[in-house]
Amino acid sequence: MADRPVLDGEYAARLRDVAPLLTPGAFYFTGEDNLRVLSLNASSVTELTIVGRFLAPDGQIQAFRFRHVMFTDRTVATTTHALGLGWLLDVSVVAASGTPLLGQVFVRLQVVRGLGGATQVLATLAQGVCNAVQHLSYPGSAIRTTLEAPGAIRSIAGTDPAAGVEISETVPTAARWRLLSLSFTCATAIAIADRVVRLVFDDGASIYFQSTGLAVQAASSTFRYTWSSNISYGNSVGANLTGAYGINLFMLAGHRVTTSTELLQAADDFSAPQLAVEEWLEGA
Amino acid sequence: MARLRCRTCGGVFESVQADGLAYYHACPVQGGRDPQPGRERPNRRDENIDPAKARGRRPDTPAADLIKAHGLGVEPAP
Repeated sequence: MADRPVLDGEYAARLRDVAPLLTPGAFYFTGEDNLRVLSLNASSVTELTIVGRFLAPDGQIQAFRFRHVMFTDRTVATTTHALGLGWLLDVSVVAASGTPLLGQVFVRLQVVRGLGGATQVLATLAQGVCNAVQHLSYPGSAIRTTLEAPGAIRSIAGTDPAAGVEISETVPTAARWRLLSLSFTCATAIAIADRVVRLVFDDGASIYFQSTGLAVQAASSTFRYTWSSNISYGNSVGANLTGAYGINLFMLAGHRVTTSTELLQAADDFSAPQLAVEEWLEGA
Repeated sequence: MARLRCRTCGGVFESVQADGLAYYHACPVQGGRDPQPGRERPNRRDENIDPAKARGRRPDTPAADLIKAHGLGVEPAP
């Protein structure tokens, strides 16, 4: 059996002094190491609060508190915070205000060497979602991806197209959608023709799913169309048409849901669609 | 919150949704008997964030500098 390595030198001396105060998972910072906070945010909340405790070599436990400003457009924001020489005992992150839904704020806590300019990532301490009530913490929280959290449920008012123009909604950059339902009206003009409204999903280049309305719509009429992933079959009752599509139809950034209408006339007019989506952050 | 009209496609939209998040308008493809995904309209506006422009952005970078395509711009809608 090999001899146990002997812990020696400056680190060992410091460790002997503070060992009784160390918590499980305490992370040694050399003085060149710093705490990096990376965020992705799909809520209107702009600030995170980072709190924790740091054990200095003289045995003093220092509480720290930092703020981290996020972007609200799902792009990455990064801040790096100097802690000094010693042991990180624990750290916790929470949204500073507001009521973001779980899944809208994603945080990664890392240890990096260097403060400005070129830095090197040494470790990831915790990674996952938080909001104003539920914290992300080290130690304790796991390292999770953005897709392991529940999706945030959102109701989105889309673009009201000009007359004679189809509906088209695009999944935003760094988002992933599961479209739960979509509803809109179509008012047809006096021009005699039977319109057939289809719902089309494409990836920006190719169609991957299409669903056709169950009835034709005559001239000078207003129909309401509703498609949902939570019904098995579509139906048609008077001027109300419902349609179904797959429950696990996930849409990535840049994918579109559009209408495609047979014999659409220049004066036909769609309303703005209202979408219910389950939304995840993608990327980082 | 502003109600805007796209000068390219004529679509009208709220720039900020009821939940406080920005809405990213993108023009539909050109019409016709069977609109296809690849038939993008000239001067198409796409307000979605261009990841390449967002990389390394400064906190004070205007959002308008990050969008994929301005098209013909927007104007206030009645």
